[in-house]
Amino acid sequence: MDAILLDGVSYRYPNQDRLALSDVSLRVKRGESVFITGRSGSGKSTLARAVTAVIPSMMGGEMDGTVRVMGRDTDSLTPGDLAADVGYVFQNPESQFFTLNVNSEVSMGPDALQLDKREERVEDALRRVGMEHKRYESVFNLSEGEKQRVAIASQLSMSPEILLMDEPTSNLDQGSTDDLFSVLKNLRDKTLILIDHRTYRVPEVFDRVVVMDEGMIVEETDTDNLLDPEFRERYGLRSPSPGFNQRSCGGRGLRPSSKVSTPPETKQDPVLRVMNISHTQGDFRLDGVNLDLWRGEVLGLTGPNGSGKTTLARLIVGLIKPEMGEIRVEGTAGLVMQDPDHQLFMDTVKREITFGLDDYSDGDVEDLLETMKLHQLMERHPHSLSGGEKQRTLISVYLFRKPDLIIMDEPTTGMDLDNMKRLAGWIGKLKGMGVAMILISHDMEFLQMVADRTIMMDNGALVLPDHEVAGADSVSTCLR
Amino acid sequence: MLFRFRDFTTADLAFTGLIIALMYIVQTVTILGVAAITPVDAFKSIASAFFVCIVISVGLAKVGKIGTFTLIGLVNGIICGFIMPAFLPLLPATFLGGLAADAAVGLTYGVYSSRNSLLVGCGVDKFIETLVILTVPFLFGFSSFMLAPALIIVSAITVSVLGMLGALVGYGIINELRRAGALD
Amino acid sequence: MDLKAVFSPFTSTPEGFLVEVNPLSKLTVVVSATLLSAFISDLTLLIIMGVIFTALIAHSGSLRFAAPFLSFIILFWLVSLAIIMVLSGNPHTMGFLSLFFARFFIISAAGLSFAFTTEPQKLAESLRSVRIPGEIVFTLTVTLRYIPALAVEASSIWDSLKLRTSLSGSSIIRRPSLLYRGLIIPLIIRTVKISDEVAIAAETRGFNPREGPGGSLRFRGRDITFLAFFTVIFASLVIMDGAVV
Repeated sequence: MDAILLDGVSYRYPNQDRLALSDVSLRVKRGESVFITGRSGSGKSTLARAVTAVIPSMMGGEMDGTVRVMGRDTDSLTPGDLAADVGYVFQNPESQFFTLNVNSEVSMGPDALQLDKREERVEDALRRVGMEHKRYESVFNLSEGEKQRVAIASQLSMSPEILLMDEPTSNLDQGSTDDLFSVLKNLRDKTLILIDHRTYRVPEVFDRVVVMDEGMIVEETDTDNLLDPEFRERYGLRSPSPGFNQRSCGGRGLRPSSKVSTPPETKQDPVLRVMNISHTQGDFRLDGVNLDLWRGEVLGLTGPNGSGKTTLARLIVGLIKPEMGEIRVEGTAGLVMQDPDHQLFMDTVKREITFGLDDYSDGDVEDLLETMKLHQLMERHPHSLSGGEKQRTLISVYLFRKPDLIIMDEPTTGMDLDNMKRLAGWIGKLKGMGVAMILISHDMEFLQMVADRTIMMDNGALVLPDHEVAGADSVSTCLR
Repeated sequence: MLFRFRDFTTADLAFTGLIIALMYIVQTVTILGVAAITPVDAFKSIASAFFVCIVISVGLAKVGKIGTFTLIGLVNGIICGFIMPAFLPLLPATFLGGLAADAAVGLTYGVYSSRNSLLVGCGVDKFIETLVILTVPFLFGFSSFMLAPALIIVSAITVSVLGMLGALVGYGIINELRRAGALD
Repeated sequence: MDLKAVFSPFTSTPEGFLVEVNPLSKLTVVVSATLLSAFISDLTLLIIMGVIFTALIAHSGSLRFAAPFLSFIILFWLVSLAIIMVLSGNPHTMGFLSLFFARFFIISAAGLSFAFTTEPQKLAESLRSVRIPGEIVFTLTVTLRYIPALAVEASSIWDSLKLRTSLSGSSIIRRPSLLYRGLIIPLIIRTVKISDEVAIAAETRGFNPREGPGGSLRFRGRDITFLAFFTVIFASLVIMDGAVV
């Protein structure tokens, strides 16, 4: 019996003309580990919903073809009927938690299915993900990586044959992603399916890669092909190599690229000066941070989750005041936060650009919309846009204000290669206009593409001194 | 029977739970916000009734089923009565308000879909809720005095009207939510 | 505004003797105290009741969080007394209002002692154990889980709004239209989108509000001790009130 069998499956969402899945046939054997990837909108998540019977039972729509999970036709099944067979883990663990502590969360599945030996199941599931020591911890005290591991444990406690994960590493830093893959290595007795843009470490755990495009499967091959740049370029896939190992490179003053950046020859002052700032937030302390940034410079800022990157960004734009030290910005600064949905306020893209401004010219708005290729979207509701379009709208919002400094926090979350390249293009344009940028990101492939220099934060301090220059030797020892 | 909880799907219940959570946040932020401007308690209640009904009307329009308001009243009442601000008389107030709203809309419109059904629901709920909260302390002997009946009625009507205005605004948001792809 | 402190009853992990007491036992005491306070007419006895519940809160280590709520009641009491005294010039009005506020204080202190010693999840389980419909318990569970999560979302949207408008928080509050457009609408949109994911998560975990198992909370020796203690306290207060009357 196969774990999953799709035979000629086509699906259309309600009120949509386009097919989200088009004649998809796929077979996954029990015990196999399959990686499903592809460009944004290629149908990967829709495939996951078909396997878990979320479509059409919960979301409606029209489906043709056959989906079988553990030998059962899902045509008349609900997601609840498949809960014991398929564990489904999403991108955001927050929306998968129903209780307030780890034990209750992991117990919930066995309780719901009235499975026996609940205590053993919970203990075993937590042990498999390395979270047994946090069994009674509040979910509010967990890091992002720990939350995702608990989300996996919550599924494992129901002993499903299949573990299906849809972009589980989106919000994770490199260290947490490493931990997650270590967990997955221990789950090879299960049928593992991972859906993601990021291919980092995939060849170590997964045997087969399935590439989707426009609702169809366009390639099925060995995951070793992910190491081939031509293969990745053909399908718009991200590189499996991070280019920089934060764990082993921390504290040694390293750069991800061989390009180095020095202050410009001219005597202009930096657009940003951060002078010995310190700030305490609860148990966390940012201490003695110094940073200079010049016009047209793109600075990459990386580091593990909780290292203080976002706190530093909030200090720079004035959302919080430092306890000690000084921050000087020559001109205005903007912050594009991690979640675009938290920064869109109006009912059309055009009104979004001017929201918060009293004095502006309609002509300037039209020009900007043309430049940023948003003209055909200007009457659309910003929340109805795709992730890349929302990102572009937010960049336009700040461009319209002609800032001297823009900070972007994790701008490539959930982005495929094509969108990432587009974003890199926009960043290049902003750089050409003399806008200084700080890009906070775990995405080393992206930072290599756009940053003039990259520095790292850990435990509230800059690991790399501001003026550090990396030699070729030290860079190469950290590349995978 | 006016309604059955069995008719609510998991999606309905999940959405209602989140709407109550949002209602709670909006209520707290509004009350704290108004408290920063004025110490008069009446203004806090009035302001919160307006904004809370914006949120409730969106919830009612999406779920649509009679019984939604009772569910909102019960759960909100359990939280307000036992957790925060942990004031027990709020439980009968919110529960009876919700029940009355469901009864009124169930008998007249049958479902929460039209603008007027939302107005009636929010208006009746706020009216009954205010009435109960102003009389329960006296009826249960917590207070040796009660406000004049006329004052109670005027307060209830005022809060009810603000609630209906909130529902009207909420109805306007529904079209925007459809354009945003958040509602079908 | 520190939202974490404001919503602390939803996120704190309480400790101590009272945490292990069955929520139904605690609920029984809270409801009994509420009703009893309506019948006791002696101010001293009401104050004693209030002190007992305040001591319970202090014992659970949550007095710091409960203090703002209780202080507000005391402040409101004193301000009302002052106003009435000034308006009427009659010192006997102190007794007239004091009974009301004493009862108000007891209701709040009893409720807060329950809130700060009970994990919201255990509250939901205890309701299930007394056959409250699963639909209500599930909705309550979702609400309790997402109040803090939505507070974080609201905080993030609020920060974005301040950045975009270059206004302070108090300036934004003074403009209801900005509050509506800049906070309420984005929050509603986020809530609707989150609810779809939550519903899928619940379904794929096999969660059926109608068929889930009942609560597994039991009455133990601790509960009997707790109930016996309060039975003695309440009986004593009733007897003393009868003696006074």
